[in-house]
Amino acid sequence: MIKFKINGQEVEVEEGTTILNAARASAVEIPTFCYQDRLSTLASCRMCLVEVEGRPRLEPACATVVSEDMAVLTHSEKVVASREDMLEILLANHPLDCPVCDKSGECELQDTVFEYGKGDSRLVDPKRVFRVDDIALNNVITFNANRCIQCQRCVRVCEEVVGDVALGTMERGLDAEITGVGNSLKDCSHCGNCIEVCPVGALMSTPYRYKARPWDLEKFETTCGMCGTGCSMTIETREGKLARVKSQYETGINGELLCAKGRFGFDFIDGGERITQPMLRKNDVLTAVTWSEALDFIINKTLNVLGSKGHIKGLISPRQTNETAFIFQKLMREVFQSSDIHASCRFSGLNLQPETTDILKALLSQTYSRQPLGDILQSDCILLLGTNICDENPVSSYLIRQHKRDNHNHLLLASSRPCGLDDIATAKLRLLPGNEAALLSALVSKLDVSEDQQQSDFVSASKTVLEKANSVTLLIGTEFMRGQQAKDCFLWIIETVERLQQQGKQVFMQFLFDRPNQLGLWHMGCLPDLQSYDQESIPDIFYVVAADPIANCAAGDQLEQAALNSPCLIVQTAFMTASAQQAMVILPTPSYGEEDGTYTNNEARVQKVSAIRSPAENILPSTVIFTQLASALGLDIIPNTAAQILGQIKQEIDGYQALKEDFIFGPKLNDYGLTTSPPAVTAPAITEPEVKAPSVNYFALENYTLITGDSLFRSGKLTAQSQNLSGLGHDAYVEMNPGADYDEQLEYEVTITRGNNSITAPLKINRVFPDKLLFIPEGQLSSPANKIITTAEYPCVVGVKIKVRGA
Amino acid sequence: MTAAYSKQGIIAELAAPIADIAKCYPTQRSAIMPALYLAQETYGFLDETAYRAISEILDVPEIWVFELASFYTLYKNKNIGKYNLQLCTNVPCMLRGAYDLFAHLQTRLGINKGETSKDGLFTLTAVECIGSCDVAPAMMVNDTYHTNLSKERVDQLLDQLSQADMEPLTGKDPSTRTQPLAGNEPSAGKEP
Amino acid sequence: MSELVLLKHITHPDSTDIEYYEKNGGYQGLKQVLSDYSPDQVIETIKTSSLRGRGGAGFPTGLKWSFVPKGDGKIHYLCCNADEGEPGTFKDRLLMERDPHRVIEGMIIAAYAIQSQVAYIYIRGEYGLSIEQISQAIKAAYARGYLGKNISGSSFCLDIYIHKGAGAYICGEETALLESIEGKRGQPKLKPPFPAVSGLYGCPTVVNNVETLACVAHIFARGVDWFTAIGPEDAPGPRLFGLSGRLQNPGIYELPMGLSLRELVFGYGGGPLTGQFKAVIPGGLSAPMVPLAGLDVKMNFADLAAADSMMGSAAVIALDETTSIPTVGRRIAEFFSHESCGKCAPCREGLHWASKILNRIESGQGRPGDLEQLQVICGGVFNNSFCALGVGASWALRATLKHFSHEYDALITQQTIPVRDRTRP
Repeated sequence: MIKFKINGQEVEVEEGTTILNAARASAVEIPTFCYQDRLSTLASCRMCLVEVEGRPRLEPACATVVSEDMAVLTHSEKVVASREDMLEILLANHPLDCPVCDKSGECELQDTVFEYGKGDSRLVDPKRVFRVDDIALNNVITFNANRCIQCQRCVRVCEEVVGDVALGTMERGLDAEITGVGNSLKDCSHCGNCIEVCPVGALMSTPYRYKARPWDLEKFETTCGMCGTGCSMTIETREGKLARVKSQYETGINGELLCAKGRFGFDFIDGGERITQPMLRKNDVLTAVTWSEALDFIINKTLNVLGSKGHIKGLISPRQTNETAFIFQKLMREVFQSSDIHASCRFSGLNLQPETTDILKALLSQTYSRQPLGDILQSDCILLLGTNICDENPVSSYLIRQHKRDNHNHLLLASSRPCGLDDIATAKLRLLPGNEAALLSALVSKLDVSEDQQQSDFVSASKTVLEKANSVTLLIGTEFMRGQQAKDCFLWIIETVERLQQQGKQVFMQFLFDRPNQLGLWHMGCLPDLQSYDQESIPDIFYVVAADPIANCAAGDQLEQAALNSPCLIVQTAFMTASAQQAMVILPTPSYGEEDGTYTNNEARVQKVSAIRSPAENILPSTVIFTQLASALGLDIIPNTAAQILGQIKQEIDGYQALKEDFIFGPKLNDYGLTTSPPAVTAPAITEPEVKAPSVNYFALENYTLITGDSLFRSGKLTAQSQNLSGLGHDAYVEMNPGADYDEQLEYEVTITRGNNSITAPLKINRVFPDKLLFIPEGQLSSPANKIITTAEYPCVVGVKIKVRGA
Repeated sequence: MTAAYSKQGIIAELAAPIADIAKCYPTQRSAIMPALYLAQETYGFLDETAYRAISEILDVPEIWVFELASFYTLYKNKNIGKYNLQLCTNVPCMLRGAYDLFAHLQTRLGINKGETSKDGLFTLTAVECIGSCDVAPAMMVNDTYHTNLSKERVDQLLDQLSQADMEPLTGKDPSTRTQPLAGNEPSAGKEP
Repeated sequence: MSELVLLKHITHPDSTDIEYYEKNGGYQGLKQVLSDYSPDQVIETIKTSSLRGRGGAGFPTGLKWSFVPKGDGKIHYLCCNADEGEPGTFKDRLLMERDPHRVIEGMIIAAYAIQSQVAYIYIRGEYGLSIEQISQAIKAAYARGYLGKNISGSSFCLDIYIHKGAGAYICGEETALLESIEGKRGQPKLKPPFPAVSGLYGCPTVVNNVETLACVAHIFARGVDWFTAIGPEDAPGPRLFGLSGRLQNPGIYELPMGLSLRELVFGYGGGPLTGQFKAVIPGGLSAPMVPLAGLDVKMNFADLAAADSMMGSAAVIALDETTSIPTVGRRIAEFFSHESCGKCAPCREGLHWASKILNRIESGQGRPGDLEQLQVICGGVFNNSFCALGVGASWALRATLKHFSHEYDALITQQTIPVRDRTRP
């Protein structure tokens, strides 16, 4: 610890602390522009200059490390004069745009000038003007160069955290201007983090342009509903209408970072076809009915089915909250007498073998690390396996990039598609889904993989890293859950963690879910008891909550078949879907953003999801529907509000006991904290996983092979309802590397065939894609009539024809 | 500019020499500056196509190439005349009449600072100190130094350069560099 | 001073050939270093010589070398700063064009001292002939075994590469130079960490000026005693003074430091071209000008600093009574504004603002309050700039205001345009 004086007051700080951080910890204010915790230190804005006794020049507080007995003055005459001078100099060319600038009211330059400025300006000469009109750098980012104060936060966040390196500085001196290549950012991630970090109104959000003033806005702290990273967001509305999405510094796992989906995709709740009243199929036509008629129908049906010892199956979407899921599984188990409860449409591999659920439960309770991502990213070695993290969990990838820069640890990356993190990986491998278990086994055993050079290189490089590492973090994507090898992969995850722990290493493991509450649903008990139920048999009632099995499941999936063939399909949903169109009963619910609840993210952290508005009049919250059904069928489920249900979750669900309390008369919490690992239970006997040789050749592929998943601007089908995101990237495309004969200048289309099904879509050339690998975003494949992907085979071989469009 | 002037064309022509240059450095990024020079020498100027080609050859983000091409003044981003007249107007040359010379050149060529003469022969720019202060005023014509200038010498020089089939002067031609005009030998260590 | 050393062979037509160089004792110093000195002993020798950097800052060279960590297992880099850009300076160009092997030999010795096996020489892009001569010299040195593997039969290996600058004065600043070699915009870096600890590519690096390295070669050819016998004790050794501007005999003069500025501009420079000297800039455009009354100041680091100016690059620019100081002031502001990298607000915005005001004053549109405003701007830039460019610019500008405010006042009150410069570009 180091003792030093700040404004005469003695302060003790850890060695290596900068004057700025020491001041902030002591509530002493020092203005800054270019400094940002997450980014490299520039000390270029010169606003944080402070006086250090004994030194002739003022020192930048952000870059000067405290030394023993240092005496710092943050408000001396010299310092005050320096700040006034600096602000006057900055205002020399900064246009007086406040009345028309979006940033007004939350502008750091405005605030700092108000606090530290002189109050007048002696500039009489004309200001430098780059251009009169603002530039649209892309569909969501607008730029005014005249306002830029060259703090370089945008350039640094784009390079150091997001990894796009899309922004840079042209020219020099006063002509220096931030921009993208050709004054365009058309190819960047569109994450909008540059907008978030810009201290002035230079970089602006196009969807938000001219919509509101910050003081008009009502703010709601919530958790993003796109992927499992669980970013904290502030949704801001004006007069009930969505104005924009922001992320505050120092809140949540993400701080000020969001991805394109999180930042611009929230308007999906205003798109799509909303269901406004309950519907019942009469004479094969869906007819609007009252709530009591719909619920009575279900109750009677249920009584019949229970009476004749029939079977009720349940499916709930991983975008549903913990509260909804908790009450749903209560309804299923205690009222419908069924534990055949599923929590995802797309992961066919989870239902193929009866032991899978038990193995998964063991993994979740014993192997899964419930730790902050920021902590486990400091491990010596991070293994990213089977995840297209830059598309599916972009902010997690930003955090990895940032932590790698700070900690200089090793990143091992094995994914099906090229990844933005490739450039910082110590070793990388293109891995076809289905081979994750085999790769894990190769990494922790002596399995011979020498027949494939790339795989062999990766394994030997990784083994070297793993050997030296004292701590290892495994971050595993969900792509393997679509295929036949899901069970093997679970077993090998458990085995790998154990073997590495036996070597004396500290090991952490988390999944990277591509939906916000997959883990929460599993914790709540939405896992099917596969031993007790024959998945092939068609249920008498299929109760589907917000999911769309008819569209989203692979062809031939048991859940799809159940939805297509069940005599009574109940779909409880906010938006019209393919499954809803085939349902016997449709029950309308609030959408994301219309009811309170909680999500459990990848870290196993419970975070609040807030309502930003009330649902329309005729819509009942999901939990109310469940409790009404339960009550009519003889079971009283008392808790009703989200807070009450959470209280009961805390009591009944393992690991949720230690969550924080909501203050009754105090600030509402966003983060309830991490769940804890439940007490060890006797795990079901897991037979020694068989060491398997890789079953499919790593690239080079012999045949055209199709994979799917999220893309940078799409998370399932919901994001297609977002106006903002629809303008970014194409909804329909086939991404592949067609070879050098195909020229970027021309437009091609690709027809993919499998059996009797085919899809035609524009070709998106990606020259770093492995040969013969094709990718189509998931939302596009979810066409019930024309499914390419089947449960039997993922990834699957397809026929391919490419031709010039219009030819 | 040949028929092959396209991104692929540039890559085909310059990938190997740039790879050679890159061997002198531990990072690919370091080779951007010499690569820009090479492209400029080969094609006579630089433009977006060249930047994208260099970015692909070196496998660096395009923005890095764009940044350097605009930060450094010796990379010419637009078409310049056959002879780039870069007259120093910094203080030592200014004190020896550089401004008068510049005005004279403007009048003779009928162009302003930064412009190119209609016949495409001469571009006139004012540059900062080029390190010839003892034989000021000094001017660079493309890569060659011309020193101890006067209006007469400048007129002579432009007359010579205006003749057709004149080979562009290169910086390696020593004859116009270190020999000042008679009457002003390079003073070296004269005793007081 | 009796014998020319730095300039001894400059005028000989063969001075760039390696045969000539070797015949006149070249590379003997290097051979002796490799056979008789350890790297630490080389550093000690240079420390004993009290050689101070000849680039502008005058930092003791031996001390700078000693900051490089030893035995750290990292790659060490030596960089020769040949980005001579300080207006008025042209000595490095002369050395590179006419005595390139001296520079190379100095680099090899320096690299040996700091245990570097890779060296870069950053030559400004305009210096085509220098680049050519250094390039040929490097080739000849490789051919003779003075570069590459096992130099002169020792275990020391060194490769030297030329990195061509592309027209940015700021790249003469050592950290900006390193950024430029790394392929980035030439913007100075935060210090600490200092280059000796973390410089090029994050590795320990030493940046030395061309003339400094030439002195290193001479020191090992002729001995430390020869070096320290020349000039004052705290700044020994021969120095190349570049004279230019309004005097009779511009050129490079090899002299010991310590002589007076008066002696320099009269005795060697031959006196003013017209009438009286008005002021003399002693160390390149960043150095505050010394008015006529102050010409007795001695040309060494300490005396010039005490006179609120600096030694800088020993580039002496003389102004006489035909010179309009406001024009010079305006040109100073414009130069530094053009060359500002744009990183920090004071330099980027402040110098541009100053040149706007000075342009107005010069074209007869000055206003009352302009001079006070310039003082404030200069103060802000001087106190708060990120690197020495802003500091030097504002310091030099302030000197014009300090000594010649009457000339500015005349323009503002009388709204007259300075006589000589109606046709300025």
